[in-house]
Amino acid sequence: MNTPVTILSGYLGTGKTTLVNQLLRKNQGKKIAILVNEFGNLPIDEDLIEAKDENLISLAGGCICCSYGDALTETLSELGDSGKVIDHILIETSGVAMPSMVASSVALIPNLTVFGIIILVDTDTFLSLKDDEYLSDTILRQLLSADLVVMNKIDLSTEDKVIKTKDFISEINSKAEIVFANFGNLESELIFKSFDPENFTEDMLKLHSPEELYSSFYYKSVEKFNIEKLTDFLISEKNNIIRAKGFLCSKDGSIFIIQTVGKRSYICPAQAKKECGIVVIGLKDRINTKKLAELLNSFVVS
Amino acid sequence: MNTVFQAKKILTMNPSNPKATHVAVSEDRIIAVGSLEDIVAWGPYNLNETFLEKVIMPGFVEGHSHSMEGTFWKKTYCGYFDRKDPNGKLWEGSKTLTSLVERLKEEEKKILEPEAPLSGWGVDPIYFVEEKINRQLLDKVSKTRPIGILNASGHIMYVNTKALELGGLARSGINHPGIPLDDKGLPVGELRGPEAMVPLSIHVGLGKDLLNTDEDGVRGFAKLCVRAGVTTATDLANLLSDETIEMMNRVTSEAKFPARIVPLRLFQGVTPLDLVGHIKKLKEMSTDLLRLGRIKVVVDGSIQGFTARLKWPGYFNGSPQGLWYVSPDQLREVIELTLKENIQIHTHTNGDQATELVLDTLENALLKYPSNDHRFTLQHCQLANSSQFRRMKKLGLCVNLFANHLYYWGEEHYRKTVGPERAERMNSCKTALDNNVPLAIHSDAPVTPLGPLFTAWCAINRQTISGRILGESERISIDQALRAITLGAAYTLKLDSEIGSIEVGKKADFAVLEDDPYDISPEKIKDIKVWGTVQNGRIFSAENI
Repeated sequence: MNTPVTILSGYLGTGKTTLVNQLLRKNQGKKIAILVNEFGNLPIDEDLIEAKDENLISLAGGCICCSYGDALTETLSELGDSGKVIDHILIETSGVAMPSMVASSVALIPNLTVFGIIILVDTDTFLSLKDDEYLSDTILRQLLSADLVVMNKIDLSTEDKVIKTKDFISEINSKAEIVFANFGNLESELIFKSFDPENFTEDMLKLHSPEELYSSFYYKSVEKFNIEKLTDFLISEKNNIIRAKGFLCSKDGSIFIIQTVGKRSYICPAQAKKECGIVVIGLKDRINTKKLAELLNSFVVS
Repeated sequence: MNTVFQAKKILTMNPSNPKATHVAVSEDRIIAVGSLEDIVAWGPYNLNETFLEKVIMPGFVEGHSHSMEGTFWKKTYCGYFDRKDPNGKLWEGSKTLTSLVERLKEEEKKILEPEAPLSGWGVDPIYFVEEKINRQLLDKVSKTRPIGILNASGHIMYVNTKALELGGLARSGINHPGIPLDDKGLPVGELRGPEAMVPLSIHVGLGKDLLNTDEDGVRGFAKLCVRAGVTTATDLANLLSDETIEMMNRVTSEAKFPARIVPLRLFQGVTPLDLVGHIKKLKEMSTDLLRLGRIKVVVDGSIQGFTARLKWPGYFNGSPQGLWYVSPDQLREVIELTLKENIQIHTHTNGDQATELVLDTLENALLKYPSNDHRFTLQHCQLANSSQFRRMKKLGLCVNLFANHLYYWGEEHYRKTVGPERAERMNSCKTALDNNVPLAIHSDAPVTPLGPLFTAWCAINRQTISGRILGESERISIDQALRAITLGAAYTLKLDSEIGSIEVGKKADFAVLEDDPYDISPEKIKDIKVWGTVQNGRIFSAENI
């Protein structure tokens, strides 16, 4: 089976290293290889390190960290030839690299599959950085290629900034998922999952971000729905819904998986019988759960 | 005993004593310059009349080259232009694709192992308007042996079907911006950019090892220096690992090694702090013929590869903005640290926005860490405008312009990359000098051949390969150009107290020429024959090197 690769990108100071350390701490037995552009000033927390040489650091739990400099492809090939057991490869790019180019190159290497591109954003500084004379286009191009945008450091930011940043990001990349975080505290499954909708996994009932910024509610219903119209509703802009995931029953009684992210939706028949219900997530203060439930009810077919 | 060289003419580049007939050398240094009368008082001497009919100039200083040119010659030369290898053999340029295929076939026959790759370099398809270089063309050379050829720019590689097979790319379904596909959805055999090239480069003998110079490469490079009249040359981007330093030290210490090599440590794969730590350590390991202690930072990409960072209005053909190869914050960190530690940086900037970033960053850093003589040098700096040259002067920057580009890619720049007006201001040597910015000019060998006289010709004439004069008002005089390839380049390396002119106390480094550059028309400067060099008082003829 191919080894999955996730690309982690974002400008300097967005918290990539902190996130990497978090992931290593809660890797749940997964053997992760982390490839960094350079080792830098101790990117990996000292207590996680078991052994260290010039280009490779062995970490607790069978994880490793390599620096690749200008030779990413070579480092990936060497890793493949080394015989090491690796469950997942995480590539941390430099602050100005184009992650889509990295992804294209990884895709050329046999036995590797790109699972997704994750872009970290420093929520506190993003709005000024995106207008920087020298960096603007680089930041926007990075964001355009994202499957998941992690708006990090929200505790340092004002609510106004959070909302403006979020709106800006969803406008330039409506297909990307957006999550909030502090100190890179994200569930590792969210990072390591495949963002290819075909590989949709059943992690939908988890809420991945701090409660205080999201408002989410679980809409439970055994009724039959007009699935297409309901999905159109979920992705229409005026409803302030960021994500929705769940199972609902269609007109003919079969159960469908529904997933929407921004303006993108994904519907397909469920393989097994599921409890029907859907989690709807929106920005706090922007969605009225009672009203939303009523609106969702209107898609029931009799 | 001193050696006195007598020449037809000695052009010293020393303003207080510009012309002479005799130069006395004590071991590796110049002890006196003038007429024989001026010199005799320095004691007994051997008169050397080898150069009686020659013209002596200060040894040329190549301020931007790469020693890997020496290594490249182990591969098949596929260029359009005639070019001499380190042993002086002239390789005829391939003027048509048919002759290129013939050339490759010849080399193919020489390789005994049936599966060994055939590798080439220096090809430039802009000269073949009708046909394309693709895998079908290279399959004519061999279907069983992997073949890879590097473009002259070094940023594109052409491969045959066998190479694609070995790299797992002889299939449909490839989705990569650097890998164009044919009608059937298969790669055409052209790989654009390092990301696309790397998966195949190891299969065609053009892997990482090629770029890390080896012993023979350094020796070959030094031979090319002798042929070009160069006595000091930079190796402008090298990671300088302990092994490389050990090897270079050993090779440059050989009794007959004929050139002074100045390798710059490339900022890559380490933090700014570690970089500066490394360079401080290297500085102490410096020897006369191996000068260490300088840093190179690559800020953006190339103009013809559309990866240079351009100011508004961007690329003439509408290509998207180029790429940063260093983040502005890291650049700031490196510049501040090196100013603080008094370490010199040369920055690669091709586009005018990249140049602007260096100017902005240095301006701010100098407020924190003032320096009266940092001599940071902008390398290439091809698109700088006049306001940027004014700022360079104010900030104490030097510039090393890529004059050879005007000839080789001037037409491309005019028609495709930046359009007429900006193409005419490319590599504005005149504006640099008018603003008193210390100026050097370069070849970037192996991108274009090492040859300061040709580089001078480019800056003097500004003629493209099609004969177009690109920016007539930016032409400089013979005098200015000759200064740029001697003292000018030495100044950018802070070596002007030791080399770059023929005057008392300096190294006995000479370029020995068959003609006087001041006696011939400016269009002929490139045709002057180089007899060889004198380096640290040792004679090296191009013929016997």
